[in-house]
Amino acid sequence: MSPRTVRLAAALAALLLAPAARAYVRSTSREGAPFYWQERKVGYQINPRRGPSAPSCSDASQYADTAAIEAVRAAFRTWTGAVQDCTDLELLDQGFTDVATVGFDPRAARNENLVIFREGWCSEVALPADACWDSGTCANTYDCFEDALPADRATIAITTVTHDAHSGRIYDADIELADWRGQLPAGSSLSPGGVSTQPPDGWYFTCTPAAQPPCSAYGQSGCTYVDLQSNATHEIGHFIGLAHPCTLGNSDCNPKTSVYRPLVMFPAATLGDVSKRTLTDDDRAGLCAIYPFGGATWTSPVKASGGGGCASGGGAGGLASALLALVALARRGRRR
Amino acid sequence: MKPTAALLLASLLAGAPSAARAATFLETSVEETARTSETVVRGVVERVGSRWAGSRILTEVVVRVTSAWKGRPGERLTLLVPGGTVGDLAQEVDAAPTFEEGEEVVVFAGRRGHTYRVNGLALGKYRIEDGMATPGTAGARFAPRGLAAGERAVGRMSVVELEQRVRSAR
Repeated sequence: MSPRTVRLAAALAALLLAPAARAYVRSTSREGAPFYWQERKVGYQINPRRGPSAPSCSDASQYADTAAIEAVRAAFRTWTGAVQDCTDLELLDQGFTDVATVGFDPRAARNENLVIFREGWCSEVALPADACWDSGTCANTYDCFEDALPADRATIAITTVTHDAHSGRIYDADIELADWRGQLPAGSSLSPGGVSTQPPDGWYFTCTPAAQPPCSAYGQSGCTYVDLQSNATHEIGHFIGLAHPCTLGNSDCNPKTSVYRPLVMFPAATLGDVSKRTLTDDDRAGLCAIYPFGGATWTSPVKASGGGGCASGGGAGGLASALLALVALARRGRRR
Repeated sequence: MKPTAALLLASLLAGAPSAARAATFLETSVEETARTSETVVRGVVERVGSRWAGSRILTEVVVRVTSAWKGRPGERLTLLVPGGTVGDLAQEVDAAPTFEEGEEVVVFAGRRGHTYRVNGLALGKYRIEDGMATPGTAGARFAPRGLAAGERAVGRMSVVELEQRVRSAR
């Protein structure tokens, strides 16, 4: 094998040893346009209205669950230049709002990028005959999490992104969390190993400083269940234009064996896991490929220059690409 | 094309952009989705049309039913789905399934109000292609949990298996 081939093989071997280095994937519109914010300073507002729920998310202040709000703020900061020096993206906390309307008004001078704790299921506050069901407006009307049908309650969080259908430019992004109102019907339990996806009026978010034993009951203290900061960090990755590095059900995306498991953007969350509060090198690579410090935002389907690979950012095919290239080099070496 | 060049070309094509989906779901079984659905149908998407509803975009989907696996939905099923495109603006609701005209699908549905909705949003719609059923959860994120013995999590499977599980769900 020639020295050149040895060097190339070593480089590829290094890539294989760090398979997540280029796994990030851009979110795209149905026309294939990658999502991006045109502005480097993007504001967000939090609707802080939230009843008392997890002891770890509560403190004695004006708002019952300031720890929950701080968890969301920390999640936003994680994706900014304040924490990641390869980007100058700023996600600006523009304070609280009492707006509870998710979506976009093209006639408005300003739309809020909203984070809202939807408290309770809409099926418990809107009558079956309520016109909001036919118009899809129950969540915005009653500030609840819209569960038109029972299996909708398996949803923990939703991000709605309004964008230009052709260019992928993001105009507005809102995050709804299916939050627990703090009321617990008699006999309810979390049954972590059980089969119910019908939690009492929302999901039990916790805000523990570090991982704790898994909760076994709603309202239980000293335990972790659906870690708010981890889940918010993941949703904000979508907020800025990142997708998942692989698709569940595919061979490279097994939640137990996939090399992409550590990534914040991996499409599986573990109850009680707090590790996804921190970006991995690959999550950071995706952020900084789109919004590089001092550089132009990556808006086209193909990156014109510099690192970051092709439009997919390497994607889940990054590892496959490395393997195929290594095989090709080995064959070329044998011919000589 | 020389084999080595073909391999290198294939390596460049190995990565491909994917559409954006971002919701987080708790892992759910096919059987549970079937049990909580009023109707489960196999059919073909006939028409898709979006409109504004306040600050949201909604899409009306008409499915021509070719086989009813549960319930009595009639010849056509009209569904209301969050998200869609109106003019130059698109709204992507990451939990919601998407439909294309001409697409063959299996849909788990129920009525709320006067309209049918997809049960479990992206969990309740499968695309059928080459005998396989793929749920619309390609970009969804799951929190694993224990399922009932013998039940299978929402995921890609053969249409035959999907139908068996739906029909046998109690």
